[in-house]
Amino acid sequence: MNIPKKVLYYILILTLFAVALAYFIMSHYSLPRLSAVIFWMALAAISESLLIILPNGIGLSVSFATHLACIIISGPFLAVIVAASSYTFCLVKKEKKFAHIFNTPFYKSLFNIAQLIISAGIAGLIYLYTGGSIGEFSLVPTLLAVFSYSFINTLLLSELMTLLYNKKNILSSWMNIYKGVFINMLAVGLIGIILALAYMGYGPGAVILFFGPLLLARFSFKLYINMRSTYLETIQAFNKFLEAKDTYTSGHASRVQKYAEMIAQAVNLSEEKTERIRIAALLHDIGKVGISDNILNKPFSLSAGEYAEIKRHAVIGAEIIEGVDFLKNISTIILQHHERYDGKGYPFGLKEDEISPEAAILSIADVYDAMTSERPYRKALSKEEALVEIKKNAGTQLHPTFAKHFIELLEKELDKDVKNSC
Amino acid sequence: MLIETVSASLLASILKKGKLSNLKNIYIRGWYFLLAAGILQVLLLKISFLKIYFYPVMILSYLSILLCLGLNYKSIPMRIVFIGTFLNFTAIALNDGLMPVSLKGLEFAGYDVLSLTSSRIDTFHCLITESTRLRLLSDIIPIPEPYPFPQMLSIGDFFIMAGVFLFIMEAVKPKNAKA
Repeated sequence: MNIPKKVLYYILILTLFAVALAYFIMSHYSLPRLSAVIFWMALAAISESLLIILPNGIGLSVSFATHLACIIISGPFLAVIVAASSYTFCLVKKEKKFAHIFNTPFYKSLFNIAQLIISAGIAGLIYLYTGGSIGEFSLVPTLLAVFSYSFINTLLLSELMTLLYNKKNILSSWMNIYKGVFINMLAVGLIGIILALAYMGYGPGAVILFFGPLLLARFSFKLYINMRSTYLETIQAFNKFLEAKDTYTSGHASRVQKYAEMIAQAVNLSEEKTERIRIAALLHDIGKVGISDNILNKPFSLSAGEYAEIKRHAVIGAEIIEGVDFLKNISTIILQHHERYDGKGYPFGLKEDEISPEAAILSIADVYDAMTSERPYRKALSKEEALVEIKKNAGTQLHPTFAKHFIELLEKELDKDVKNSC
Repeated sequence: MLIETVSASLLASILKKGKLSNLKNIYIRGWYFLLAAGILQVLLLKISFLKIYFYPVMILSYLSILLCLGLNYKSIPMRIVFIGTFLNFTAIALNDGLMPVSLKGLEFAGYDVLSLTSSRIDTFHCLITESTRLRLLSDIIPIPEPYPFPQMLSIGDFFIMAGVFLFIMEAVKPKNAKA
């Protein structure tokens, strides 16, 4: 991969800062005895190795718990060493291969280690400067350390993302990441406090006692995530089968997914809801399996009876999805994706806020893609024509606010197209 | 107190023909914060070394309970539980992490008060004294015999019980197919 110069400079600056910070901390604070250092380093490396990638692409690691525990029991020096070693000695299993520091790109390791040193180091200093003392537990400094760690960690990460993917607005991408991980980091921080209390009360043995159940919980969570992705893969295969059957709509689901995601992000929907929209977009027409091929691929207008038959796909789809435990929460989106803002849609004729926002967004994306792709009974509209149609239908068929955001996005894209062709 | 509330709500839901099997669908956002709060309080109970951190650990455990309830603010019963927990939290936070209990109330509830050797009743409770703040929110309401489980409750406890009761009733309510 070719990395942009900006990213290299960024990593370089971070590394220099991390080295300076580490030097400052080393010269001002001391380490506990060697066995304790090794104990915490091993614990941190193990917990970092057991990283779980969540469905939304964010990796959840519990190694932060060990960094925080180190800040409390022994101060920033131990925390920095343990934080750096948690990445240096970790082994992550990726597609049957182990990734470790020797087979990861150099700049990536450098960024991660620098980032961990800065987060843990500053959190440790904040802990001490706000009245926390080494080897004792006090609440406010500990909470401040948790906040500052999560704050710095996500800030450095989102700055990297902004540089890598050329995003403009670092603040919004930061807020997005922060919102997604903040609660998790609080929970992991709580584990860290429990580890520290156990260590101060009973020593390393008690820490291992707490670590066992943690590993077990992580294992079952991993199984859940695996099962979930197996489910999703099965359903996507099913969806491909559906697209093969209805040739005119091939690629429809993934395009709708793209548009719907764009709108969801433009209106600042939470990551949770956006994820739901993504899955619902892929599966929104799954109910068409229950509809006869003759009707689906008919090259001319449908009779009233046939149209009524087509309309059933929303209900059929919702029923199929309802049967899958972890997809239940998107069945409403699928059920409602043909409802109209003015209440003239189907299957129930819901209107305005009776329709879930996710379904309203999906329906705009669906309508737009249907217009811009060719159908058995008509030619595709151009992007400009489709835009005019969307404008016309905002507030009647389509949710006015969401439609407005989508129109803005489309106009920006059209501008870009015009510029490129000039 | 919670055991009785849960049993009462289960009983009520059987009488109202709710679907107990719906209980398996209960999902509490951030439930692990409740778990962590539980672990912290058990640590306080079991590790005598932690007595020196009694106050901050107690506050932390309450904060994590409140955080979990706050994450579920969309559910109205959860809001009621939140209010109750917050009232108890206020009483505890102002009294060194201990819930003050009324002596008269204890007597009335049939507790053998003569066996008390100090104002500290157990790990989490103490007697109301001159220096107690916010007595109104302390354990001042006796539930005496002949009730099989005589105990002292606070105003916050009643909110918590009402909230938990409603939460379970809502959970077991047979859901109609959403239109």
